[in-house]
Amino acid sequence: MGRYISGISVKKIVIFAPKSEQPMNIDTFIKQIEDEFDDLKPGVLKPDSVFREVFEWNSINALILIAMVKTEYDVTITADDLIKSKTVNDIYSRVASRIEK
Amino acid sequence: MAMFPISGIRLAGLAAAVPQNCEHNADYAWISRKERESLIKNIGVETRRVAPKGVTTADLCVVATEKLLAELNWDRNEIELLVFVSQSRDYLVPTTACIVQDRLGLPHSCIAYDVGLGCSGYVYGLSVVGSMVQSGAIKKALLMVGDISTLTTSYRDKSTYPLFGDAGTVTALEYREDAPPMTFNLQTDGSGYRAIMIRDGGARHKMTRQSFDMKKISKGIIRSRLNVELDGIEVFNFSLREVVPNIKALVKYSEKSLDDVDYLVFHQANFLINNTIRKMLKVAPEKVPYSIREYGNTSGASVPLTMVSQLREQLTKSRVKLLLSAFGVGLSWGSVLLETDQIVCPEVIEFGN
Repeated sequence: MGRYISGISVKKIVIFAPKSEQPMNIDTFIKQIEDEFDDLKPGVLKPDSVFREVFEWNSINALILIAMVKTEYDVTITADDLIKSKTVNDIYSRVASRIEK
Repeated sequence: MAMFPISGIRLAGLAAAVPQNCEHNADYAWISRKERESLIKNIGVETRRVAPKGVTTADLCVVATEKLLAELNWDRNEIELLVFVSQSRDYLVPTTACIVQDRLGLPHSCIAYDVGLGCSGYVYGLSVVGSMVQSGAIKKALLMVGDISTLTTSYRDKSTYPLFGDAGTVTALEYREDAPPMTFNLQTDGSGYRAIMIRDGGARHKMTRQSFDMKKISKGIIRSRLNVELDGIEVFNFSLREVVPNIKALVKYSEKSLDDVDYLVFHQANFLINNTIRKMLKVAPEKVPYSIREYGNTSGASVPLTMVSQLREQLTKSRVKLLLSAFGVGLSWGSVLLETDQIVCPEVIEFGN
């Protein structure tokens, strides 16, 4: 049997949830890049790898990287970010600095 | 935000026409084989329809309309509104819609005009026609949306040539008091107008001899000021920034949830953009149809062409709840929630030479 309860109202619901399931660290970041690019063998990419040298860098690959970072971290990588970044760590630092604390 | 419902308008029918002539991106010799493979896999375009010289958007739309009107059994004397949405009109002057009114034998009582939008054109077009029809004064209307984008792409520009295909569509809309509402969310950010543009040939920069000079812009990109140019990263980031909030706001305004929607039909920008937007919205892949593999990015025609080529069975046989979202050149974008019920929808028409 259903019953009514009167005189009570919900004032506020507070939910705490982490922004991303995994914490941002460079190892996770590298793993996520490896997952996106088929011809990138696991373990080849290091924080100080110059990404234009590790795999064929072209505009499509740039878009794949931008899409991954937007989906995983909700951070936008711009053309300027790509021009000014040489290593994987350079990109990582730019993304990490923009994640909402 | 420009969010509003339009009531009393029913989508009665939909048809699309594409040129017979088909190009395969696997044969696009301007880039390496590896680049072609990456392009087909990630950008998602395998084949594209390319209009032969002299065939215009209006030609494709007229062929589609003749077929649709025959199947709908509409009396053309009752058609009182024709809106032609395109960025590839027949002439600089006059308006293409006027010529089409005559070609189709529509009455002189018919209102006819062009709307100059590209990628976002279908959603905007529905809102324009819907606004004029909702009072009940106009009973039957045609919305034509399409582009011959290959007219302005440079073969030696890998960022545009393998992306675009040509198509023309027509949608028949009628006043019906009890039709469920269409709800829109339309937006604009003109600060990004340079992201997709043709520099010369308009009033700002008239065509000169220099307009034809082919210049190397970067690796794999050689074009003139009369070719369309596209800033891939700008467009990509714009789409990922704006489309999801636009859709979420519309769904909230309509007091609906994305679970209520049977299909989300996106402008076929490129596969990577659309698939990322789908993931951000947490929508299952089965709910998001694509026509980009077969037809490429067909500008404003891409939403109706996807509906005809991928959802024809469902649209003709049942009641379907749709969310249409289109975004790009302008920058202009918008979404609409609507419901169709057993519409008339012939198969995609192939237009011969």
